[in-house]
Amino acid sequence: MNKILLLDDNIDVLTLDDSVECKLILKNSLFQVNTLKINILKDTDISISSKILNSSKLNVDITVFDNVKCNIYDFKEGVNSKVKYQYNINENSILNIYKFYDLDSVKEFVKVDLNKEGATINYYFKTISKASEKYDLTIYHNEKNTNSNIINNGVNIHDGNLTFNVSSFVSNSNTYCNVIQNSRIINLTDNKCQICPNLYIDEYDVNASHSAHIGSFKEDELFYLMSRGINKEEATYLLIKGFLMDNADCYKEEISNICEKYWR
Amino acid sequence: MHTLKIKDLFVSIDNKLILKGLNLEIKSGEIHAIMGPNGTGKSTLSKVIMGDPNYKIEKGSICFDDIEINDLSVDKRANLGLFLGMQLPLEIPGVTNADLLRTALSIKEGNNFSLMPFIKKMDKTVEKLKMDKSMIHRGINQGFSGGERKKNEILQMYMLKPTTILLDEIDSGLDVDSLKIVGTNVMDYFNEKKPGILLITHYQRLLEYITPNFIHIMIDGKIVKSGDYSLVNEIEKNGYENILNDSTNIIEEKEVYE
Repeated sequence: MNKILLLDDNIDVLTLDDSVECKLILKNSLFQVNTLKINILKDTDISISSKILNSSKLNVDITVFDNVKCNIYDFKEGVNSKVKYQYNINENSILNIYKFYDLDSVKEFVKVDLNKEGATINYYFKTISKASEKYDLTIYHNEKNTNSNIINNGVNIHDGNLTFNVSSFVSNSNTYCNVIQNSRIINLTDNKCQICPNLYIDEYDVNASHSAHIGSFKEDELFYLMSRGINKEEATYLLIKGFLMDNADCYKEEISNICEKYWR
Repeated sequence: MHTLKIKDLFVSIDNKLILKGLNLEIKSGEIHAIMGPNGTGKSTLSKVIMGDPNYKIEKGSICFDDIEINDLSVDKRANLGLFLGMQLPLEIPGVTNADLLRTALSIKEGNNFSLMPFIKKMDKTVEKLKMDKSMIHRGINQGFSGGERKKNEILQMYMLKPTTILLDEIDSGLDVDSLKIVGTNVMDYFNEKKPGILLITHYQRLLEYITPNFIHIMIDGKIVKSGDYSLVNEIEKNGYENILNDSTNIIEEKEVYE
């Protein structure tokens, strides 16, 4: 697997084959933050791990070339992060993103451009929010037959307040698009959390759906686990771990350790 | 020897009375089947025995080995030896069967819990139930068919070794072959461990595999008739209509709340 290790907003380790091009453009008089540019040329998997010791401000610009399938595993831990992501996905390309964050505070903008027919993004995001975390995602279906499947999951603890703003755009004549948004926040505090699921669709022939859930776990789920002899505290722990681990095969050990850190 | 004793039980949900003076006693080594029309409170009974917090006990008692468990938490009831095989087992993504059972047995057995025997027993039981081995490491009931979910309930029953078992419509959603597997495995467990079993069902076909000692007819929140297996034939022949016409002791809700 291709590996990129970031320390704050700089590249620490880079192990890439010929399927990926990557360069860091340092901040200058024109750009106030570093920009990480990644071009994905062939089918591949990329692991991007970020350790944020002080704080990180970064632009990340990722382009998936035509007819390429790529999985990106993005893992962040540390303190404060402000990142602007730009994903450009081209003809018949599929980008699967698996993100897991354990940070102190986050402000993140994600812009996805599905530029050509057959462009697809599957976005699986998970976070443990302990302070202010705000995520703005905007997905543009710029061509017909493009697909977006955006799944945001967060567990809100301590002083956390978590916000997901997700906006999907389909303009007129871009038919046969699939537009899916699912966001869920398990709020284990009395703090306010927010999900704004927006669909801006100016075309009839589109398959679109969205769901948003903020709350705790369902009573039925707790009842099921407790009816097997598991006490409420342990049942809640299992549900949190399961919620965070679902669809996150790549980081099972890390997530397990993080769960131990907060709930043991 | 264990005894589950339900005495004059009145239960409501959202101020609507569901159980209206139910009496029942189940001892180890006995199989009781409860039959009755839809919406009569059969599933409510199984959930209330297990301690579902959605239901409120208005009056009466549930005792396990002469100890009242009305206010006992769900997990404590399970650790006393009660097990509920659910009618509609939930899907819980991310929490695997292995996680669930390992956690439950670690709590129940404490220092005596050992991983290797657990894995061996799990593999053997999965094979016995003709389940796919990968299901152990999938989210609980995630992507399972109706039949697979019911088999999974029986797998959990085998692993947790309960002494009193409540099976709520364990036959619904099962094809002929799966019904046979579930039925014979419940009976194998019964022959081996001699638990008390409360079986809730609509159909005679399950009773071809699991032979009850007692049949109870439940109508409008209470048992209106009890008997032996011949009662099943009576229901098959005449339906519940005649029994309903015979039952004269329908309780008005206001009698309880007043």
